[in-house]
Amino acid sequence: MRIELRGLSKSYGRLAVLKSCDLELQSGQLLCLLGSNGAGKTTLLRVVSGLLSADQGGLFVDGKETSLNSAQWRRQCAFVAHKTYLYQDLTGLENLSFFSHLYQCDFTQEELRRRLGDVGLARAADKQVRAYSRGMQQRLTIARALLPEPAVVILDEPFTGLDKDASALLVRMLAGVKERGGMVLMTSHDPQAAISVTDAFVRLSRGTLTDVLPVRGRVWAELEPLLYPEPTPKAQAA
Amino acid sequence: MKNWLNTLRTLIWKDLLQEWRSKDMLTAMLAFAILSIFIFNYAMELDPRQRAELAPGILWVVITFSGTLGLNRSFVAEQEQGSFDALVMAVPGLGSIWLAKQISNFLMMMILILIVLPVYSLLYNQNLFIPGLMMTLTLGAWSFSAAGTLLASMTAQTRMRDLLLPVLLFPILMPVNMAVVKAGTGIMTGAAVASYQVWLTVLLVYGIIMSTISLMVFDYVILE
Repeated sequence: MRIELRGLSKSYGRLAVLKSCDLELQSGQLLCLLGSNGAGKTTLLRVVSGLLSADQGGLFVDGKETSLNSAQWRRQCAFVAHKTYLYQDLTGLENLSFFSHLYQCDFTQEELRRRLGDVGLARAADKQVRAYSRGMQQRLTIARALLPEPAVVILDEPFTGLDKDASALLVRMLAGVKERGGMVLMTSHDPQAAISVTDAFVRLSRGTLTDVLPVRGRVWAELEPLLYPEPTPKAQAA
Repeated sequence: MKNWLNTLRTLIWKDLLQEWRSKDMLTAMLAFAILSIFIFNYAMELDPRQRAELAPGILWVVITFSGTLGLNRSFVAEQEQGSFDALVMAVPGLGSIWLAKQISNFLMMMILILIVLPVYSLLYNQNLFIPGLMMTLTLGAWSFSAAGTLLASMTAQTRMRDLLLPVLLFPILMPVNMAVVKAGTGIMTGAAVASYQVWLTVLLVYGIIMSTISLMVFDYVILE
């Protein structure tokens, strides 16, 4: 599977947040979007996931134009955002069971418990989410997002609030998504955390996708100066 | 169609379970409704004939004001952790989200009515368990929740939702308010069915039209 986003633009009133963005993503690939606050990363992710209408531009799946706002496309995507998207008064198991029914996966309770066990929440399965710590909620969020085995996984700052173990777990799960042919688009202010599974970094600046930096087996020490070059004296003065 | 109905059932189950655990909506609605009935009881000295004429009006005021409080709370769970987005991404058709929420809100309204009626009957010494009046209130509650759920889904995303919802909702509900009160008064005073039949028809038609419009525009409201 291959998806292409062509000429995506989005404005809020007179403020242009995305300006004709083109992006390509293939099965088994993970792209990490980089950009400063307000660059338009979250808006781009919301448009790609079909949660927000684009003003212009389109989506092509294997060369065929597909509506970004169709339920069919949205159901192929999973979105992990700043908020957990969980119901606080339901237990972890009930949350997974609820979304499993919505996606018509209809997993058995044993299967759902196994999924909770995969993210280290087996013992908290029957506790209400309200009683979970932030890290536990983030683990459950990841389990919820990956439940229907989506073709495209979209993550907005997924490492925020995760401890070392949970970060390692997330990286393992992203590797699993890539292995089964899924694709991942994520933003991160900590690109080093997922360097082992990242295929390329894409920079977004003031609503425009400026450059793509493939990882190609390079280690972080080689990539860091390329991702964060020393500002020129002129830029510093500005 | 079967998938759509399964989705609907799952969404309603979640809303009811959530409400059973939190009791967010019902507590606010019932407290307001019962206090209002007490205030009306002490504020107005009515003879039996006046009671029969005014009961539907007083009841409907109490039910709509309490219902508005409930509507304001009905999207709290979705707003609290942004789970509305997860719903939008998971369901095969967005209309099922609206319909499930509408049915949940309607059920809450019916629970409210079933608790408010005996309290009112006791305080005013007046039997309100009349099939015609029950049917009128049920039709009114359906129309109220149809219009209210759509508007609540829009205002839930705003900062001033508590103020905005009644300001938008009450003008739209004018035909429903009139129809419930006129039909209810006719029933309570023992008037001929033909004299208030038109108001029952208004309620029925309003409910159907509002439900259809809401189903049609919900996608647009959510994605824009």
